[in-house]
Amino acid sequence: MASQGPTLSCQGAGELPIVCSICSVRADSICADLTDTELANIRGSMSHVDLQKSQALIHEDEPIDTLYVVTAGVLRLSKLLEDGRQQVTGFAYPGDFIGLNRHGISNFTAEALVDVSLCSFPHVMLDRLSEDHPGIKTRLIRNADTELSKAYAHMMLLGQKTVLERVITFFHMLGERMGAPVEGEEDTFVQVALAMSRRDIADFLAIRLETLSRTLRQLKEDDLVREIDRRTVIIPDLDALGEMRVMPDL
Amino acid sequence: MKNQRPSYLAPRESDLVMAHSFTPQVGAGALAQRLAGIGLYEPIALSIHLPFDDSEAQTSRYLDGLLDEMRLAAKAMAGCGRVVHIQFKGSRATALKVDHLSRVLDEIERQFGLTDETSLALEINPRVVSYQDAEDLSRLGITQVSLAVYDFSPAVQRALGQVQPARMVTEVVAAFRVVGIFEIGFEMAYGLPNQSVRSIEKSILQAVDIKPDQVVLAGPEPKGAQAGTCDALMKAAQQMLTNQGYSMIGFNHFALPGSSLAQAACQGRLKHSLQGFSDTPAKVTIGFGAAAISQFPNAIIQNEPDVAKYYEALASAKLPAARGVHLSREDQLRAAVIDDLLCHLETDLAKHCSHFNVKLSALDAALKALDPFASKGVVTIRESVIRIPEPGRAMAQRVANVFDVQKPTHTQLSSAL
Repeated sequence: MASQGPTLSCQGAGELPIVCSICSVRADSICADLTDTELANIRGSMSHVDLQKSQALIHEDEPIDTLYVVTAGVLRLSKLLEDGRQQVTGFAYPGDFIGLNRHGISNFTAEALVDVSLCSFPHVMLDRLSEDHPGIKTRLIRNADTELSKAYAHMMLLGQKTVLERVITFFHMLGERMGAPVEGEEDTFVQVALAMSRRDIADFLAIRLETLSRTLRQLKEDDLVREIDRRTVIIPDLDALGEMRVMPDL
Repeated sequence: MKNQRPSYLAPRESDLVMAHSFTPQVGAGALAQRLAGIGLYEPIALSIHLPFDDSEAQTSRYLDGLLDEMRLAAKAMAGCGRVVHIQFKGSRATALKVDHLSRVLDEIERQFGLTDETSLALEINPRVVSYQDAEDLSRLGITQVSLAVYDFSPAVQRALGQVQPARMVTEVVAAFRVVGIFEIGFEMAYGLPNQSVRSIEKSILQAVDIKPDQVVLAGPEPKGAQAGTCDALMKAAQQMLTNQGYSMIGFNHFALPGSSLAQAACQGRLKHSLQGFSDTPAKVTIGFGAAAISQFPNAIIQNEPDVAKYYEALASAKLPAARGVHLSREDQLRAAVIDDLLCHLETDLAKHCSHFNVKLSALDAALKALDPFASKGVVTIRESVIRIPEPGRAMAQRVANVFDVQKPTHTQLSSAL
């Protein structure tokens, strides 16, 4: 853990934890297989983790014994390369799993890009839970490739897409995962708060900053992306952007 | 404007091709297989052979070939590998065309990805660089330039047919520094016509005045009647460089303290490859262009040197690899020991043997050949650890050669001691 570890706030005994009742990703996460009663039963082992911007959740090559589910915010996943540089390998958004690797050692560092909330489930507890609730196991297995599939998607992105397609794919994915509807506009009109820096985006897409700016300029000219400020963009038509990706989604 | 590397300087890459027994059996198939084995975020270096001075039409055809080759390689790599270093070779031979470089870089970004941290190194002929070129190169992201200076003495330059006075080189270096390209390397040489100990000392002093971060001292393999003269010139140049504050890196590189190479040497990150000594973390170098060489931990593969055949392979969508060699575990072990000795003047044979799973006895002959070095105090051997104490640094290459199966061990000592 970093010098400032994440803060843990265990729920009180009894009812359904408040965070669960308002959790925006519950339907997508392993909790979807739990009834309210069951969820209340596991409250003792489950905790809620809050990270402040730029705090690290896990470090590369350190043991990891907990599964995290992102419930709010965005984390940057990165690897330290041999030359001391960081390679951005992906981003984790609400609903994403972190900590599902088989060897018990994290193969990347995860840092909060904005304030982040996560639910944490110790692996020992998950194993125990799976015995009583087979649905969880199935769901875990189905999702067990989350980190692997992120790596696979990144490989496809870098290996099979042109620079323009890479940028479009990225912004489309951002719109899908993080886009907020704007009042008085169509459903496909979304506003996205960019949690990551231009540098992170360029690194993730394996292009240079200048190329990213040039490509974004092109997207702005075609009105596929509008820039409100350095950290906020509008995607006026998410579907139109999606049609331009050529390759399947991330 | 021609600026050929004097042929009597020890050839660099072709040397290696001669040393190993390359076979056509290790060709395009082997290369494709190695490329497919590169890891997702594995650091890789690219070595791009740019055309020598040809007509515009030929240059344009060659560039098309290069870009085709990149697409083929990228397909085999399927999105894996991360480019940390790009070396442009051979560009000093031609009048510089920045837009050619720009086309190549765009394709690299498209096919392999590029980041702002990727270091871009360029060999360049000081006689063809204008201030505008320097500015354009900086905009392209070039971070290191290496200038083929060789020698500043007018008599030597006239004999080489390359007149580039110190003032001209000073101006070119100043232009690079103004535009923000700070990593400047010089290639200096000994064993050139009209060189004397006095002239080479003066020439090195003139070079040092310009404060390049790095000096590579090249020279011919010592042989025959000239060996003594060459040796004296080499020693004079080495002495002058170290007296002037340059640290000797490996056996023929010199770096200012604080330069990236000197830091890498201090931190034990120095690597030795076809490109000389460097601090790149890449264990894989992919060569592009005719005669370019790709290096993997377990194979070295050279592209078709004949341009017509190079185009022919590309026209049928085949990687233009011509010949190569697989490196066995013992080959890799020997390479690791040689690298250690050249880069760090120290190696632990037992450690490497266990890493490559080779019996220590495989190195018996080499250890025996080390005896004379040991008895003269050039090396110390304690259990399985071999060290070259600092005064013996200049001998590192000869000590290391003992571990190279391709080099005969009996002739080295007479010239070495």
